[in-house]
Amino acid sequence: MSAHQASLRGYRLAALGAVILAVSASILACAALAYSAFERELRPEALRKAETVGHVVDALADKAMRFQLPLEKLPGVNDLFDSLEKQNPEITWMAIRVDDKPIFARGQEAHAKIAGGRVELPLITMGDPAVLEIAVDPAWVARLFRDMALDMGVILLVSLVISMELAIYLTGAGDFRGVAVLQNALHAAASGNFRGVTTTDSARGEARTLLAALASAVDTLAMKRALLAAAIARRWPRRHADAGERERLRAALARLRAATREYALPTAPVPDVGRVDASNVLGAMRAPFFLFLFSEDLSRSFLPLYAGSLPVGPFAIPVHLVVSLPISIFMLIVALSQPTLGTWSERVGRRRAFLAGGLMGAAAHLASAGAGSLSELLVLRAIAGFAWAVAFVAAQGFVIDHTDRATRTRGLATFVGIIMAASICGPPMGGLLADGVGPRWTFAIAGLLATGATLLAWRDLPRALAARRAVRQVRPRDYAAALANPRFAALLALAAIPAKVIVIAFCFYLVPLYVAESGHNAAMAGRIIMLYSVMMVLGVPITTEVVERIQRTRHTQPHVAFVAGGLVVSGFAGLLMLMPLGLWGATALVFLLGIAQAMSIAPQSAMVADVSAADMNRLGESAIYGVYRLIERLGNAMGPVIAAFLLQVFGFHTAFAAIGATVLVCGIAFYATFRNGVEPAADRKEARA
Amino acid sequence: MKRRALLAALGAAALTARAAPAPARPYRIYMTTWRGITDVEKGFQGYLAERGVPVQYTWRDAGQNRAKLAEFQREAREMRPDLVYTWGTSATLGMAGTYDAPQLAGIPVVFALVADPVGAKIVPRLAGQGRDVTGVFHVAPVAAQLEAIRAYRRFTRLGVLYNAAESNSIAVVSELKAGLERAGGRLLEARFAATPDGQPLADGIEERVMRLKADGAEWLYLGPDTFLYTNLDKVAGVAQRAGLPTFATTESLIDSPAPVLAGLVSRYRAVGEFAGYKAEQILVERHPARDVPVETLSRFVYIVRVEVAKDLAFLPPITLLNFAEFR
Repeated sequence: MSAHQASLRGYRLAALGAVILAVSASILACAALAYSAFERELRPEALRKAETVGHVVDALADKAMRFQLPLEKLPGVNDLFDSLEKQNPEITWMAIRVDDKPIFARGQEAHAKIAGGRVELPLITMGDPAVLEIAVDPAWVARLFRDMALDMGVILLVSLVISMELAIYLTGAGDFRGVAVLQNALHAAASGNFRGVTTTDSARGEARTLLAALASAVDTLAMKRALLAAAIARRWPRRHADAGERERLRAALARLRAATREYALPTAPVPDVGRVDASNVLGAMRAPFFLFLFSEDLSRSFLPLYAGSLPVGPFAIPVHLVVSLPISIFMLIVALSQPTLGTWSERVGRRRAFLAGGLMGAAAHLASAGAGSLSELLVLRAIAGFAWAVAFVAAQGFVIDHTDRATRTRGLATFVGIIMAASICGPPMGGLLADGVGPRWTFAIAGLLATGATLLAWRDLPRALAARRAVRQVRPRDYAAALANPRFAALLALAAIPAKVIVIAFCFYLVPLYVAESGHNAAMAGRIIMLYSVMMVLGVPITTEVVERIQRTRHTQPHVAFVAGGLVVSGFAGLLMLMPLGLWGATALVFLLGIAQAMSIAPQSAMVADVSAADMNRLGESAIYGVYRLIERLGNAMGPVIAAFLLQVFGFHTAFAAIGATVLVCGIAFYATFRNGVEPAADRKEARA
Repeated sequence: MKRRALLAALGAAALTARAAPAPARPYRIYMTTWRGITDVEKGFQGYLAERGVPVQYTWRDAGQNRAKLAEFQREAREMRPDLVYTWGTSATLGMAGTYDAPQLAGIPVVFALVADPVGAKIVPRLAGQGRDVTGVFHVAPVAAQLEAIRAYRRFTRLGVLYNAAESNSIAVVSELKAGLERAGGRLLEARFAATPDGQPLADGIEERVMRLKADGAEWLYLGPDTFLYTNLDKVAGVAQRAGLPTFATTESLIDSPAPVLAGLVSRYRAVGEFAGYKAEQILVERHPARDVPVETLSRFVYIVRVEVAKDLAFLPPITLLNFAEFR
């Protein structure tokens, strides 16, 4: 990069910084103004609301009086206060005083002592005159702002991810691609590599004109060089008698040689090279797949609550178990249908398979919006699970079809990246939407998004594809053969299944319910669940890097320690809930769980190849991994049911702690089993995410 | 749907009395009751009178004697009335039999105040019952009852005293058990003493209630059990003395002078009116009884008796004042 370019870049950065600073400052000023306006306007509003709530209590006290029921002896007054405070978040203190002594009191007494933040109502009772006291939270407006700021933060993060997806979509198929190609060409030309100048069909408009001009200039240059070389060749053999002429010719030749060394000129007219970009490996599948996953992830943060709100119908099973069923059924269908769907989607083509999945998913979401009973929802979630599996397998097949050995790892990493991006965006956005427009409308929106995904796929996915014969179908006898290896079975039982059980049980089931139980909304649940995906996205590359470095520098296999460590951290995360931390506990739990899974997921996957090295040749790598994935996914399906059972019998804290303790024990047992090595395979397979 | 139609019909009846076309002769309804005329019959007859349906009633009361029902059945077969009305599970079974041993073929039957018509095998299912028997059941769903008890005071052990010879009681008890287990509670059962041939006896009520209390029952559940009703004074009295709160499932239980604390019940009059509507469907609208579904009311009344609560020193929570009827 030249000095001129560097200074231009610095200038641009400074200008950008100044603009961002100015915009942020004005936004902050606006927020500050709005804050004080809110304080001014909302405080009297809150006090009026407190008074209305007071009249509700007054009416009940009056009724009690009519039936000669002594108020001070009536049970449930504190419960009533609790529920009123829950319904009206601005109210944080309610009390009834007789002779200035509180006979009932709920909330934070300190708030009652703040001037101008309290209403009092005399109550008529059978005994001494009583006074009802209601205080509003002095920090209520601040709390509102904090909640809004959290929502904004989530929206910011989600829009960042989505705009990145959008940019990739556009550069993949639209005008940005032309600019990117032009930039590539210019970079190549600037570094003397004229062969890097391309004239692809993907560039459009101005970019294409510029590229064409550049290409013709390069072609001219190449032609001139060729002519020059030919001229020299023509004249060289004559052996000029003139020494001066000979000297000039020799100098010209030397310069020409130097130039050829320094500049790489194309040997033929500029070829159509195209642009190789990892983010583009998925190409046309990327945007529809992301949208489709996003639509499914929308319901994560509120599905258990929504299921709980529906009439249960003829189920003679405990309510918590019933609530866990939609998730379990979804996971079970996903697990069971995936092995067989691979060959099917190969046969009908990835395009048709994805379209079928998309349509089915859209229909299931739309129908879930109108589900009248739990049994209906169960059927619809099962269909959605099947649709998810179909679309997933189609997208995965698409990646395999469009990559070769060299690009497959990259392609699959991108594929996983999309899944994580959707799981970052879906739950918090779904939570926000559910709080705003209700779960039913959120399902309707999910249905529209899935429809959009289907339409995009219909427009963009290539029609006919010679599907590559990729993987061998897993046969039932493969399961028996693979599981007969005790080390493989131990890996599944002690690591793969517990890891999945704890993630799904906590993130998809217990945390949403716990957050709701402690009086927060679905948006809060969504934000907390999002943390898991964020930690995974940040953590997985770091783990991979660290594992590789340890392998390189110390020549040891740290996989066992990482997997066991992940399990132990997950277990501690669950045990954390025994401490009275409330929502912070849940947040810390999800945070730790994300780190723990990021630690163990890739090493665990890599260990599969190591522990079953002996079977690999006989059964094939894909069969072993097929068995591994299926059993792991059955763990997904078991998670909510186990959690529901524990929740039903023992309550939240014990459910969290019991699952945590079990996973912790599994982690220790895993370490004990594998600490003497994993019987490394002859050629070590790369870590698979 | 039908219920809305009932409301509409009641409204229309107020405006245009005598709406139904007068038949050549009045309809003949054979009424069988188990323990005398109740508000149900008043509601039934009142509804038909208001709708201008001419009816000639033949009333027979069994006086809680099963043997009499066989007599009534024979009489009804000979008389061939246009409709047979029955009160309660015992009278209904005595007249119409179960669906696998049906009686009174060819005569439509409308029952009222059967707690659990499917459990008692009167009909195999509530709609599309496949026999010309329909009617109204009056007991709120067990889940709603348990929820109502919990709204008064949380509990884990519920006591029940019932007559094992009444099939509706057996059905209710098994439902209670399932409902409680689902919520992590427990049912403590006690049966009335019985003769060797199964007839219930009023002996030993006191010790049975006391044992339930001693075993840790927090409430005594009063099911839709006729024998219990006839001994209610004793049962409720002992419970009151033992400090065991009682919860009623029918209006007659909570309305009796015996000290019953609370209940979630259907109004008998409303049950009777709904049964009257079903009779009208069959007689006037000419719907076969098998096409008229067996239904219950959609609204129940939560009743709390303040004096009983005070005597027990077991006051209702303040929130109950919002939706329960205190008397």
